[in-house]
Amino acid sequence: MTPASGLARGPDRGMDWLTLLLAGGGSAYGAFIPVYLTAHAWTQTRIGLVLTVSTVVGMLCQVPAGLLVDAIGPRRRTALYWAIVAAGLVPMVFVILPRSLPVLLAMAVQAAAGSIFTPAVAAISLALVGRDGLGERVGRNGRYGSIGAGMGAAVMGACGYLGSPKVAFVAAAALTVPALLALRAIGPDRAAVVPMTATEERPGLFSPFRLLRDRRLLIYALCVALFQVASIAVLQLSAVDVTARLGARGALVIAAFLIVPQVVVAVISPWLGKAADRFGHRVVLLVGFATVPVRGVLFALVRNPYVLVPVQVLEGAGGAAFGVMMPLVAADLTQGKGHYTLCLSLVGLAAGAGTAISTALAGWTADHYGRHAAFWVLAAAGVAAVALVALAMPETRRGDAAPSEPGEPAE
Amino acid sequence: MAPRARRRALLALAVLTLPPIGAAWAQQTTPEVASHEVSGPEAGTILGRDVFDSKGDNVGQLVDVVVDRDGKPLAGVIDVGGFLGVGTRRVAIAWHLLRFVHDIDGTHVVMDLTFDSAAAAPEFEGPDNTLIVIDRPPP
Repeated sequence: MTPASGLARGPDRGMDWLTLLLAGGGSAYGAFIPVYLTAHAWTQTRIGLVLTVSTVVGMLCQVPAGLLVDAIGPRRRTALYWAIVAAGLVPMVFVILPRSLPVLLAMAVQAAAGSIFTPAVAAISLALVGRDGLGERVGRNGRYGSIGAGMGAAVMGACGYLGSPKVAFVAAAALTVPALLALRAIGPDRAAVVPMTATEERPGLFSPFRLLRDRRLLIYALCVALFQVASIAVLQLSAVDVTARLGARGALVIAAFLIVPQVVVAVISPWLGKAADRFGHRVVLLVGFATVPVRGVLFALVRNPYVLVPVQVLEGAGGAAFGVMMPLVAADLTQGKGHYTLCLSLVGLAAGAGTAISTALAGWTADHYGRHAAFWVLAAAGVAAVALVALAMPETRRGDAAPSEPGEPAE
Repeated sequence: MAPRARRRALLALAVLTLPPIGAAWAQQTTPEVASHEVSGPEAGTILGRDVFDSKGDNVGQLVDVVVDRDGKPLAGVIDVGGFLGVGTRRVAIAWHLLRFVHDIDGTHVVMDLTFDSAAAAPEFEGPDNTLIVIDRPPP
């Protein structure tokens, strides 16, 4: 990938590495934590408590983190430094002190630091390339984030297989140093290419509330929540099904379920970023969302797990569009009004709520009406998400702006 | 150094006065606990241990134990299969189908069932708070 004309290579490489390393470190905290803590004779109740605290802290920190990153302007870099350092200490707690209180605090710190990562990376990206280069930049963020997460999961898997999960935590902690170096390599904001900096740095006390009056933001947040409801639980439901059908051989199929979308995201994200700026944001959004119900229906209909592996290409395509469009739409919606990262955080909050609802809804439906019905319910949520994008979501890209919405602020 | 030395002196004083009080207290009560040693190969803790099937494949982790009113174990709850914690199924295997091997590496749980049959068995928590225990069919 060549950066857009006129951009120096160093900062862009730094950004690539930063997204890769942050995602790599973060992948240590996925589904693997319960396995690790169980091996340390933790009861399921204690593990559940730790995971719940982590989720709640993450959700609570979203909006304050967005407000903070908006408010501190160029000093967001310093905030990200400290967040990376804090998150880097967390894996060592799992190695040295896998006890209740330290792990509980560590997971809370991880969640809080993680809630800074997304808005800070998005804001630094925007400050780096400006609005016009953002499509390509977030596409690359998507690619390198996916590569980092995949590599992180591979290291976790290898360490788990070799019986030394502690090495994986040490490796995750060691990523802190190159991540800080990558952040350093990005260098200062290129303020000249950021037209909104002037307003961004002097937000009024009540200006965040203006954002909430934008009807497009509310519609988009609802779309995002529905997208998550429809997509998150599909993998969990089907992976459990694969284990039941294939037993010992199921692990390979589940690994493929996880890897295929990662590869797709890594391959198509930069292209999607450019396509969004070229063909319109609404089109890419619509195509990306359309993959979700299709995937849901295929998972409901096809019973052979091996046939479902290629279907996971759809998860990658949808996920790539979802990840690339979120910062782009947020930038569209906050054009000239500031509060870019607050807008992203609000949408992130909607996504988090969607994730929680997806798991709960799928679990409840599977318990009462069977697994099959759960897939159909998720697919129905996907249809609702597509319908909402198609019928209510206007084109947000600057230039070919839709007629202004009634709820949109006049200024 | 001075405050530290004073603190040490105080500590020494406290230690000197303690034994008579402790002895007086011990005379009035019989000890509530006694300890005895169990050798390594005889016993071990089981929560979180790896479970292997009859062919020696690693099935998953023992995450809990189901007991009856008397505390007698009825079944071991095992997280079967999956990849990196994704796609595991929680299954309760009847206690008499589990064997416990204590060696230098700790305790291994060996299950007298195949991986595939445990993975395909109904999950542990049924509807309405019932528990489903997996056993062999009666002969």
